[in-house]
Amino acid sequence: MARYGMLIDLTMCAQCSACTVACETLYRLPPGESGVHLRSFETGRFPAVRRVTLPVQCMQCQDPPCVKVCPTGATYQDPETGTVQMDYQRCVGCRYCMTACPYGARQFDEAQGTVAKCIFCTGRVKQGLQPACVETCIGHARIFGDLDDPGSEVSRAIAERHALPLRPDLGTRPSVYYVF
Amino acid sequence: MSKFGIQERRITRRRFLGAGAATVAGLAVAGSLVHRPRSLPEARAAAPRTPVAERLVPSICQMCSTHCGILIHVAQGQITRISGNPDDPISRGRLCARGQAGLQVVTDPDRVRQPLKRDGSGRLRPISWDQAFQEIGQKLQEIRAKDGPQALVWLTHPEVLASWEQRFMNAYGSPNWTSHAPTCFSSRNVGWVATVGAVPSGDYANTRYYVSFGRGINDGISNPQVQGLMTAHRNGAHLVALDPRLSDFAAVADEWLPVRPGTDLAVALAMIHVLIAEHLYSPDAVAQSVGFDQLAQAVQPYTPEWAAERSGIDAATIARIARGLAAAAPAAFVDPGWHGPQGGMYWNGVALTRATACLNALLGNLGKKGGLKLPGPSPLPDEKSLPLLQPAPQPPKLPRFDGAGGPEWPLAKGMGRAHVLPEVIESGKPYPVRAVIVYHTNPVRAYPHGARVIEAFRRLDLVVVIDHQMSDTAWTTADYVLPESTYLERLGPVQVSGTKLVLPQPAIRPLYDTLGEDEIIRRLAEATGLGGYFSYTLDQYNRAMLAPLGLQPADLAEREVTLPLPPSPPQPLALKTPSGKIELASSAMEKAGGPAVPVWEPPLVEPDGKTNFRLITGHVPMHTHTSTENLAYLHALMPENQLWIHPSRARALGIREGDLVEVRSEVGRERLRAHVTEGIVPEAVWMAHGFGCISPAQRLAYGKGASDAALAPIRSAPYSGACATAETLVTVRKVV
Repeated sequence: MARYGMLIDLTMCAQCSACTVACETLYRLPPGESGVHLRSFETGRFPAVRRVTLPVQCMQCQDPPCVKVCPTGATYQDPETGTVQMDYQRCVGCRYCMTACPYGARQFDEAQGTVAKCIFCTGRVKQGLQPACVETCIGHARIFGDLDDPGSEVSRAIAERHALPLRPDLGTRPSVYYVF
Repeated sequence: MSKFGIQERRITRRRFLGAGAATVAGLAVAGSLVHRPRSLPEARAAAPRTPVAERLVPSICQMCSTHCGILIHVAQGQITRISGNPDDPISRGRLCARGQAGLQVVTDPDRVRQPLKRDGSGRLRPISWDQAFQEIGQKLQEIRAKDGPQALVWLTHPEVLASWEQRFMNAYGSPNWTSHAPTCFSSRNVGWVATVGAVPSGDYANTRYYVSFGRGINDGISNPQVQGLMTAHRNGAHLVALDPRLSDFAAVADEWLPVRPGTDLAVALAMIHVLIAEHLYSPDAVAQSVGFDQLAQAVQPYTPEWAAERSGIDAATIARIARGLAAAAPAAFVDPGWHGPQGGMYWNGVALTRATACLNALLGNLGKKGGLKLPGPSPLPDEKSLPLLQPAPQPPKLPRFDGAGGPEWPLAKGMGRAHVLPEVIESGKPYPVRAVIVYHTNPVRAYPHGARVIEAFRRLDLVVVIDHQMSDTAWTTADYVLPESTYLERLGPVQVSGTKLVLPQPAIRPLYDTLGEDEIIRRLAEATGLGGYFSYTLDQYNRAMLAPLGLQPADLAEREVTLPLPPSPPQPLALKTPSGKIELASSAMEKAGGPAVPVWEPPLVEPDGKTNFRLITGHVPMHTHTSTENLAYLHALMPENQLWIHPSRARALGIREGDLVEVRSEVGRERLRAHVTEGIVPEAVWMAHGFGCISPAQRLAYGKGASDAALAPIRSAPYSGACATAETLVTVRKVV
């Protein structure tokens, strides 16, 4: 089994939102409902100020709280890829998953009455393509691949660059790693 | 910033949900009763694509002037997506947010769909193309007969079909074709051309030490340069941002040096001082230059301590950066700049560009890996040599309306001084201007003092706006609006992209009653009695341009738009300066009445630090000038601009995050929301350029944020004639 994962190297992220729009145009999502959002945090006092901009999306947790709370099984883990997927036929729009997700990575799709999220572009990946956000990242900040294969580009980069997931203390074991 | 907007919205949603668990449970039950089949966007896209259904049309992105190679995805006659063309040397398969959102240029519900004419009541009403051309042509002939051909001015941006526009103006007899250079990069070009004879670009991907004097490379994005610089960063390059604001580039750079606006020149001069005093310069480069001794003498007083007093950057840091550059040289450079302090914004922009050009020259980085490179010759023929284009109308010998290239502005040359047009219209000097054709650009928000632009344009006999959207200029001043087909619906002139040739080609037929600019110019020429100069189509033109290379448009149009060209020759050392060498002391500058070597020139205005601020502006990665705020995807990312203000100053004015504030200058006032941030020098306020749309026809953009152009007075910086928009003092108050 593969376990899809991603590395986002913030030292290379241009903060340009290309990833956000790539997701929207590929899936024809309503404006503002992308699976990827940039969030900014400012710390420190002038002139020692820092602003960190974090692209946030579904962290594709190995132990996903959203799956546990979903009353209909609409949110499930795909055994083949380890990704957290959505069965929109089953989704009743109760938004439990939204409250359960500690990363705020899910959005309610008003038009469909369902909850949407990043699905790691698994359809594209199975065709040998990269996820849309990875393909278009103009900072070359994103690497996608199999975390179970220690020789994969993403696994090697995570090790070499000392990448970490967000909030590992929550115990969700995310598959998205960041270089800060 | 949208970034904060998104955050806020998420928080609100979560709060709502957290407060009402019972409601949520209720929803679950209700939801399960309505088990209706839904459309599944993800599932749809995840299903294998049938290659038959989707056609990929290679073309050129025209959402900014970088012109990345794109693939336009077309299914059932509709554009479904735009992605980067992996075979293109500029985009390398990657596209920024604007490039991808380009498909909404076509589908924007607020597009101009047919030719419009303003009637007696001031409303724009549909007319036929025939009527539009006939009436405009007649009017242009009348104006030329009565006031002379120079009474017509053509304003343009972007300059995609510039040579056709210039040919039209030459045929008409007017010297007044003008681009947007003075509102953007005039000062940079003047400074660089004086020093090395051309404007260089950086070898971003291979650099090891990069210093930006006010250029936010991640803010006003150039896709290939960002790709290069971020890769260099990963490979260990040191990035330094000298900027009064914590820009998007400053946020990812290794160091942010919050320089006082208008004083970058002091820092650059001090760095030259350090390089010379500590013998850190390249002797080879000095051997290929003229004026080293003169420069060395001039910068003697400009110690890092001297610069620290003016710039707010401490002396040790200035010296350290200079040494850092020298240690990494020649794989090190100071960004040649674009807009900002080295471009058109400040009074001392040319002086700063000259200083940074000399600084680069001393590093010996010209033509070196990781340094700067000069543009190579174009493989395309000079169109003047094409038999198809004979007879060619001669450029008229009349003086330009803006004096560019004349005795007062010899260095501004063809870049023009578009922003002085309102003054010329008002005064009738040097001669009356009666008509203006505006291609795409939006002077009401792109040039300083928008209100004055509107008033002046309304006094003209004829204003024609060619655009695909109802710009502020079209809405407020146009007698005729001629709707152009978008870049995804029309052919373009064959172009060089990096080492390849590309053809901007249409992916779909025009959705509405629109024409390409080529056809508009051809028919305008016909109606003005100049048809003989445009007896060819754009396709014939492209064929003629490619013929000397043994190519045809079809060669570029099929699977891939790019073709390899022979590698350009190595960097020529004979520079296009009067001496053929790097001019540390510039004879051109001296001839124009300026100092031969860069010396300290203070900015024009000084904020008092108490009651007023310097207004600084800039670009953001998700918008291009005033042309993208109405596109839904980009609008969602950043619907409006905010006024960045330092907490210490905000506190004194009783302003908190998100408050509505009024910004007032000597020429205008604008309202927008405040963003209180530590990421700006206290003496300045910043807002993104391009907002404050006053055209209600652009329903998403209308009334959002503030226009920086409304606040800047019309001024021309020395030597370049650029409009120094950052030399604007404003007061800020909370709107109660």
